[in-house]
Amino acid sequence: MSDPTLRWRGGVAATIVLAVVGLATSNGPILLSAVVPLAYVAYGSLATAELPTELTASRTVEPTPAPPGRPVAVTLTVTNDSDRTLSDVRVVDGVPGDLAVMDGSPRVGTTLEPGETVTLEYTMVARRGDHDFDPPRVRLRSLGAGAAATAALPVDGDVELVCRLDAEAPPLADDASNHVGQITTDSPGRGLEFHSTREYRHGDDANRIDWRHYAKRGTLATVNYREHRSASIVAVVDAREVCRVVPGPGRPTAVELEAYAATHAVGEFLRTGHDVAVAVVGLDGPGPAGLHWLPPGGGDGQRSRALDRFELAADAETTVEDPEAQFTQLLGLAPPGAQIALFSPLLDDAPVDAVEAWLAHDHSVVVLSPDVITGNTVSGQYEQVRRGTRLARCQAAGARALDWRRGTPLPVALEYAFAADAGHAARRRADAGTGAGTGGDA
Amino acid sequence: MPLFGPRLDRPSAIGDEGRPRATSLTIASVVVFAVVAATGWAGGFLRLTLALGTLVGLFTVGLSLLNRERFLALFLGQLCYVLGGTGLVGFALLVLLLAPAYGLVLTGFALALTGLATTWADVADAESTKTALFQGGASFVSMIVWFVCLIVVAGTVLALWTFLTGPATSVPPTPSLIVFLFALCVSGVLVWLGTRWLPFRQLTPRDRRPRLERTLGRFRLVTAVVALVAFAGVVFGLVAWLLGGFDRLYAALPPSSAVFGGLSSPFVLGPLLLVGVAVLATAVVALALRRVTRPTDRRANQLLAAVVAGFAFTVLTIPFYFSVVPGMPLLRVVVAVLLVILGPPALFVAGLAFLGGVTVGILPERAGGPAVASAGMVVATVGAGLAGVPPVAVFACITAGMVAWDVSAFGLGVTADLGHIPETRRLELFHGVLGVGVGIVVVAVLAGVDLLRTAVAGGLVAGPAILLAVVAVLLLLIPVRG
Repeated sequence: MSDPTLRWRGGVAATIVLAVVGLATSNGPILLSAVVPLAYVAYGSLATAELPTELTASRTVEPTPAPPGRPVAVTLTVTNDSDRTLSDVRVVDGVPGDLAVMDGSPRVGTTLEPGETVTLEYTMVARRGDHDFDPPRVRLRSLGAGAAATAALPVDGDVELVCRLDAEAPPLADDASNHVGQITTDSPGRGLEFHSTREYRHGDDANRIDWRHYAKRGTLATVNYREHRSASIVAVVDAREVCRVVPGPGRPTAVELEAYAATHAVGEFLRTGHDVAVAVVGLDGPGPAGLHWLPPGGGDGQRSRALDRFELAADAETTVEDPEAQFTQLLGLAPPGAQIALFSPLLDDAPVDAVEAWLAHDHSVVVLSPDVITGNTVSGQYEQVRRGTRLARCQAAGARALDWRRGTPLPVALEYAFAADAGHAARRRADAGTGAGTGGDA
Repeated sequence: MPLFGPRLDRPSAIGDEGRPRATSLTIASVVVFAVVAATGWAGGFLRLTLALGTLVGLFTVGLSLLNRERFLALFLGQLCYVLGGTGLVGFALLVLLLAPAYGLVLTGFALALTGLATTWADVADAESTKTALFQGGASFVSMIVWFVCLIVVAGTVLALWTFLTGPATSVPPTPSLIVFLFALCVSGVLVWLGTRWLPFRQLTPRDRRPRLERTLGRFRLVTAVVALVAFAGVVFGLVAWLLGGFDRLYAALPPSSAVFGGLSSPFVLGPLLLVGVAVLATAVVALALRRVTRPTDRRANQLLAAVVAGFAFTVLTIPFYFSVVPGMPLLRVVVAVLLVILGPPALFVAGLAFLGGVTVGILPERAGGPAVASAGMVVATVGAGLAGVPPVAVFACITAGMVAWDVSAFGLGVTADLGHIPETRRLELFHGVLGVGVGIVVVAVLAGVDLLRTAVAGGLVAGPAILLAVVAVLLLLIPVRG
């Protein structure tokens, strides 16, 4: 449908003024000048704008599904398949309302010759959920821009952006839960890394016999390796109200990022044979002290149940009155010597106090802290300093604290936070002497 | 986007939605400037036309800088805005008085160039105009106050100088005593004021501030008492002098006559007044420095800049206008004084007219600059027609006005639809070339018609017929436009 625009009211006024002055002064050039605005009024008014049906659009969203915080590239292509030139085409893609464009523009304006294509490319940051795109709006203007026609254009290709916590993680069915465990101890036993040799005993595996020793001395000896044991890990997600903040419009909240990181970390722990428990702090749940608590366990079912808790944490809007008590309650729930993995943006002192209490009770603690504070304001810089101080406090207390800066891929952060701490955790477990597995070889 | 040099507009995170896109505005500017220059050349007033450019540039720079926050920018903005704007208004009024037709042409050109220049600087809106009007008004009031103050100070200094450099030995003791007491009163007041503004408290360590404040309070009390006592002494001395009381004192105590006579000596009055003036001057400088170094207080900086600029105008404006206005010395003095007295109010009225136009809706809020430019070219068209400029130039003037409005409004629409990020140069160039092409065709046709009219009909104007034709076409456009 073609709608006229009202750009030329001034032109009509100019025509009248010049005509009146020209007549009043009997001045031919002035009178003739009145024709000029009239010509422009006609030029702007006579042409109409009709949207051709041969205008087609297609959209690609890459990647989808995507994890929270991940930049997603959107490409919209509009092609003029009609046989006439479109002098003024303006296209605005229907970006989902909950997301914000971080780079590029979902809008374009150009002329399109027959068969010509225009491409929009822009980037958004994914937030958890299924986000539907609206159809792109197209506005076509007539030759003199005096009329405009606006319509929604049907689009082929991707019409939604799916954002999941477990995106880019291996499917549940592929989870290998038969591993012994990855934490290396100082105890001799079965494993991969050489520890020592001892006299052969009846029943030792043939593949542990030191044949070089036998060749030299003629007696059998058995090789001891550093024993791998599984550990108990408690993944704690800080879902308190103070953590439901975003670094900018359309960005995922800190809790979404925590849930994303916890999902991948728990998946990795389970895959390598650890027992994993999950606690969500800040919500009013059915567990002790109102916690959403998942007792330690392993396997596919545990991963699925953990994912449910994380999704609940990311989506919840309610909060609990005394979340600090939930931090304290974890001391009674965590197995002795368990490693605690805390996911928190550290926007207040409560999680730091909890970390210090856990460490005092001989738990190994790893803190992965997503950075959601912007530094482009004075108050933001002040909060950055305070958060940096809290990270330093955690480290000073003996925890391994990692600042997960925006732009750092999650796998890198997880690798740095947890793999490097394995030895530390193993030593703590060895000291405690309460390992889940027994070496059998002393 | 500036064409060259530092940008005058204030790009923000939101973008420059307040003005047309750069490509559209460039097309409008090039067309208008070419037509203005060509019409000036064809009409024989090219130098006057080009002189407008300097004033328009000065005025636009001033208008832009008056929307900043820092003192230096505001002060320079005051200088440019008042000098350029006053010159522009005065120039237009002068030419309108001397040669109305040419005055219309030049006024129209001034409006067109100002509209485009302010659009480039993104200050062709009501908010920027209000800010400039406030500051222009403040500097004008400040200039008048400074003028009165300088006259009073100069008169006082002259009177004192005459008194002091007169025959000193002949100063009678009683007037000498009264002058001394008056100087003591003035000095006391100056010191009392100065101690209010000197940063004693700020320069003192925090733990010593209470003691300092007590001491300062006592000192200020003493200075106030001294000033009041001296003032009372002046009043009492004048009364006693009239009643002849001093004669009896001198008769009873002869040395008092010599003592009182020596009180008006420059060696006594000089240091006395110097102390007061030095304290007050130091305090004023300290106060000004504190205000200047407080960048976030925009309103305070605006007022300070207006006060300082008012002093500069008082001292410099008349010599400046005297140096640039052509003509006989007496005429130059008269014009310079008139410009100083009437220019800022006229500029204020022009600004109010713009605001009124925006308020009642004659001028669109977002497209005020292009609308002024287009209206200016319409005015110039009328003037050019009345001045007898070649008809092609007359047609070119109105065409340039229409092109300026067409491409500017189009550029604004593109920004409103798409924001400032997408690249739309191709779209704008297509529309701009089309608009200019339409204009060239229309001018060519009208030039032919005019040639035919002058050659065949001897320049006859069939007024009623043309009027009927115009009205008919306008009526026809109504159904066409829906």
